[in-house]
Amino acid sequence: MDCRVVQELISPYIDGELDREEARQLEAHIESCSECRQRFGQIKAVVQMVGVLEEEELPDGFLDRLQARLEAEQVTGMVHRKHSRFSRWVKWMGIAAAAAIIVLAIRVLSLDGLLYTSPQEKGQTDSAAPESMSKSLLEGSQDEESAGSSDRPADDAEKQQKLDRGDVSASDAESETSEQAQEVDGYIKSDKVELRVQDVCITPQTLMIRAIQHGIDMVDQTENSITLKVTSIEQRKALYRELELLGVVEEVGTNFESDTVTIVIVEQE
Amino acid sequence: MNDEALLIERAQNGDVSAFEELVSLYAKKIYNYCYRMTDSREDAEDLAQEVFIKVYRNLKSFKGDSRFSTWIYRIAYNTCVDRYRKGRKLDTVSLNPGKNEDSVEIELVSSDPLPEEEVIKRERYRKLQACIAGLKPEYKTVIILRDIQNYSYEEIAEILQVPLGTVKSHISRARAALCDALREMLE
Repeated sequence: MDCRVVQELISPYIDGELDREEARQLEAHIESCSECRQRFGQIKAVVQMVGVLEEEELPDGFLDRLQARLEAEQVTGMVHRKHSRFSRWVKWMGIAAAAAIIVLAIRVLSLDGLLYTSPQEKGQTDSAAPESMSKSLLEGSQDEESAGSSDRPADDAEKQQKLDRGDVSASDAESETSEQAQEVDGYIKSDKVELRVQDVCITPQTLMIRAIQHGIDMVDQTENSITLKVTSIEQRKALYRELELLGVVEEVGTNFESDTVTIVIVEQE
Repeated sequence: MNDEALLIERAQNGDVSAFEELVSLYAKKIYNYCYRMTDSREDAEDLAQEVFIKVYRNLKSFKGDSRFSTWIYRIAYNTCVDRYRKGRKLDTVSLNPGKNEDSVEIELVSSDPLPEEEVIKRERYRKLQACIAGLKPEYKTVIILRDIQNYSYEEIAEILQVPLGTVKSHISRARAALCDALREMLE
């Protein structure tokens, strides 16, 4: 047996992974080759040393901290479910309806302008259009809020399907109840969240406008994120509700003590 | 169906207490795996928690085609390697006493002088741990799984999703590399 082959086989030999014939050949070689014998001794010593390394204890509070992160995960998981195909459909229908109203409004205004107003007045009506557009969009998003509650029939249908499969257990009922409780208490827990949106129109400015409505101040802003100062649990709840209407919220921060929250807008395909 | 399979099924159906039981079964092992991979308690906690969050998110996709233990270790391995790729601390090796967190611990607890034997043992432990953490990720993972956590070659192949022959050669080379790194200590 070649020395190189022997050195490759030392480990499987130690682990009892060689067949009897291979093991016999290796033992014969080691007996006659001092270099391989030395290597065998070294590898065996390493395996023994590593084998007696003691297991580290879990750090104090490890499971509590994990539980806190999982609870945050459950809340965002729930949000994910809430933004089901149905609610997305409702959201897009809301936006489409708002867009239709805007088009109609602009048409009416343009007609009025063409038929009855002077060029100066026409300029004024045009400049008023963006204001009515943003108002309509805001109204559209309020519609979404009420649409969120109309998501229930979809949940009920899912429940009924489960019943049909004979698939409803006590734990299901429990989790439903706790989900409903969390729904009321949903708030941003850490210092950073991702907001996954399908609507390219949602920018840090959109978030700033919504934050201002709740007395939340801006600390910083980048192209795709905004950092806000949140001083109370009510503000965290309000912010959470606002974000929930815009997309899927996911907690990604690890600092649960901070008084700022950075919201990163991520466009989903 | 064994106890673990029942726990998994309950957890997949949304039973939080079943998931907590699964966590308690694996938390220490996964934390230790991450600790050996990083040589940092802080990073190990962060990584181990990330592993369980990924397990929670993906639990429904676990179909039982592989063992749950190998599935969870595969997530742990990928999580550690991702961190390594992002250039954070997975490959840090410090053989310089005084810069490592374990040596700090020795100073903190040694208001009474430790017996010489104990000091040597701790120093040896620290160097060994640093040498393991200094290996390439695919080498250190096989050392941890095989020599510390006693997984079989087949299980390691399942965790890393590589052929058995690759596991054999990785174990062989990893031990040789560790041996070279520790030669000074062994002689």
